[in-house]
Amino acid sequence: MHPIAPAAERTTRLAGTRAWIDWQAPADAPVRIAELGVGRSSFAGGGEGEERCVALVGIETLGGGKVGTAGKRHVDGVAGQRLRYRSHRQSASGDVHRLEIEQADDEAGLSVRSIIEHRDGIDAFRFRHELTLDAAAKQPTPLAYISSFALAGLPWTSDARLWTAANPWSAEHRWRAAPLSGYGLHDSGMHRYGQRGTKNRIAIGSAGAWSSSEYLPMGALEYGEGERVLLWEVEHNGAWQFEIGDRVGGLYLSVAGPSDPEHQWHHYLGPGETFATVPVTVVLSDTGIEGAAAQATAHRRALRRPHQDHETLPVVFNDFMNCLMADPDTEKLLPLVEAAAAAGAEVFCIDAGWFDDDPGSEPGPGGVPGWWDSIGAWRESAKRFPGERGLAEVIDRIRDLGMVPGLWLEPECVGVHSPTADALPSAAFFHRDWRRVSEWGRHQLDFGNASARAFVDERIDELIARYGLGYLKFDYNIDAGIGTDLNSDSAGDGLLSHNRAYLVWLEKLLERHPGLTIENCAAGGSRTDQALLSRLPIQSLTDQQDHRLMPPIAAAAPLAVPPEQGAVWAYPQPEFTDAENTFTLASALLGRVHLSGRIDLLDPARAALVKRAMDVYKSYRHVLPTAIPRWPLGLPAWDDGLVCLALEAADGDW
Amino acid sequence: MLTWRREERIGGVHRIAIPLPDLGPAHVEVLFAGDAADPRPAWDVQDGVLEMDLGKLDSVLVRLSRRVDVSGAVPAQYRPVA
Repeated sequence: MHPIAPAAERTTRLAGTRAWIDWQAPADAPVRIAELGVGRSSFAGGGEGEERCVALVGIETLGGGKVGTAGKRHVDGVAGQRLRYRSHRQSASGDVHRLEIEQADDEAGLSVRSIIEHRDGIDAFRFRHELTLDAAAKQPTPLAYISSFALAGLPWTSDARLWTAANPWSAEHRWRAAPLSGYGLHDSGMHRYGQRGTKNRIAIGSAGAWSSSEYLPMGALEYGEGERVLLWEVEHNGAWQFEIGDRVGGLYLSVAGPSDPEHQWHHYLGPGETFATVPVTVVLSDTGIEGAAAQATAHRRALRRPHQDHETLPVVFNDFMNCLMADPDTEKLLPLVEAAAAAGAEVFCIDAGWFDDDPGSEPGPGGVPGWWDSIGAWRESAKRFPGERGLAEVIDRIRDLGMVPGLWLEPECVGVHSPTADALPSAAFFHRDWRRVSEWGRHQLDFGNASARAFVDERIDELIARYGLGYLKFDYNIDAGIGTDLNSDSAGDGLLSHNRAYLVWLEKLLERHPGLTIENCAAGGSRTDQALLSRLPIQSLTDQQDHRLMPPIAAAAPLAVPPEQGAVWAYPQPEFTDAENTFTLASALLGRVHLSGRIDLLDPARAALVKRAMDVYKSYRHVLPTAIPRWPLGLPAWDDGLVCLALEAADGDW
Repeated sequence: MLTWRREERIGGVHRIAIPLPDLGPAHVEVLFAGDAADPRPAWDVQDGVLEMDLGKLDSVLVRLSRRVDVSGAVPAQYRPVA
């Protein structure tokens, strides 16, 4: 460690291959980022003087207040302002370079270690912070907001545009770019009268258990057309927020996980305890949003857990979409298994309903079929799979035809009519004010609870062993709300604990079953975040049922999901024209193919079309894991009549 | 590169143009268009633009290959127009 702080007037540079960060450690202020950039492009220069800066780590505590009139803005929290530089060090391991900066508030006993990592050849920096309270502290520190990334001095110029991605159900990945005034931020001119800014902000975030049901946990600032882009991404499967506001003539950006005002989160940091922020990655580009997409894609590939599925990209048949719609049985499945194998599918996944005796096609009260609120025991329905061999008859046929068998589960949910709802201890479930949370006929398991984890582990291990499963689709069809306040400091803290425990649980499951492929799904794309994408190899992008509405989703997705991970439904039908079947098949061909539809009812010509599409896909899919996305017509709007996605392969082909 | 046209209310076959200024001369190969054996005509990338004839509900997957000739020569149809 370097024991002496750099002088305030001297900046210290963290240099990547092309991107860089200049940071400062003043004697009378917390550490801050002075500037960052890529190549000759810099993201600084807006605003003047000391007041434009924000702390590297913005920290607010319950009742601790802020310095000055920040209003709702998450800047200038007193706890963060009291930090002072202590030391720093740089290290490298392989192609990963790390800067660690230590700061402390000796009076409060609070120390903060900031970890900034970057990789050779990738213009991105990953930020996270660890807060530790001195073991001798007399009382805990009630944390209420901690920025994972904070920067001020961004230019507020007329060519600045903010990119955001609304992510509505079945119309996901709706990127748009607009001037900041288009989001409600205007230059009131008040900084010329000694004020720091308008006290207003653009705030985008997600509260609750679906991390991306309203917006993708991403954003970007672009200057000019095809020029400088600063893109950020919250790598978290729960609550998050980013905000942009004006500050002394420039802009600030603060990106964080859950907070007190937005997510009912606070956490009591006890003596000797450490709290880690959610990670945030910042990508820098001097070639516009496409350049940022290329760097973000490279960073996601470098960061994720390796899995053979990333390289092999098998065609998955799933019996749900515009097919059996959660009403499988032996009689319906066997013809589909034959048809899927003939079409070239390599995985056959039996979707929802396999565990429930009630007919799936007749919705009950609340508009949901019987299986909806009976999930959670994860035992096959003898009614759907009669005979001595039961479900194994179908599974064995899948395997006999050379496909990997898979099953659908919602491991975090237990239906209110499931025997599991009574079998597990009360503490295994989310609660609010001592009442067990019920959401649309389900309870939410708390994976921070050992009983909940042990139960799901036992059921999944048993299913894998019994049926020889190689593929599991993990769905998540409810948003269980703000969190759980049972055995947690706050509802938001309960959710955060569950989110993190779920990630650890996934990693242990994959360690026990290294050949297992797990698909991430949350009613389609309602949990499209890098916390899950870095652990699970395949992501369901959407539940869109209309093939004509699929292109803007499939085409835009690679800005958030590497193409080798983004699964698109292709559901050919016997009543479709050739153009319609071609349309639905083509939509999946630059990502992962989730084949569905009544392919068992296709005539020979239509079946041959499906087979040809799969054969074509297999002829080039090996280039997808290194390809980068391009949008020759720009990112698609929802109503565009013409949509185009290109993938630039490593050899230069598009 | 995958292009979708979905203009069912407009209808008909239209010539659409995809700007590809970064690509340069390239060979266009139709990989999947749904027609039997994909018999779409050989389109060109000329002046950084790919023009294609697409129906009202249509989708075409093409490979745009920069390696236009193993000998290094650029076939006439792929040479930039002066």
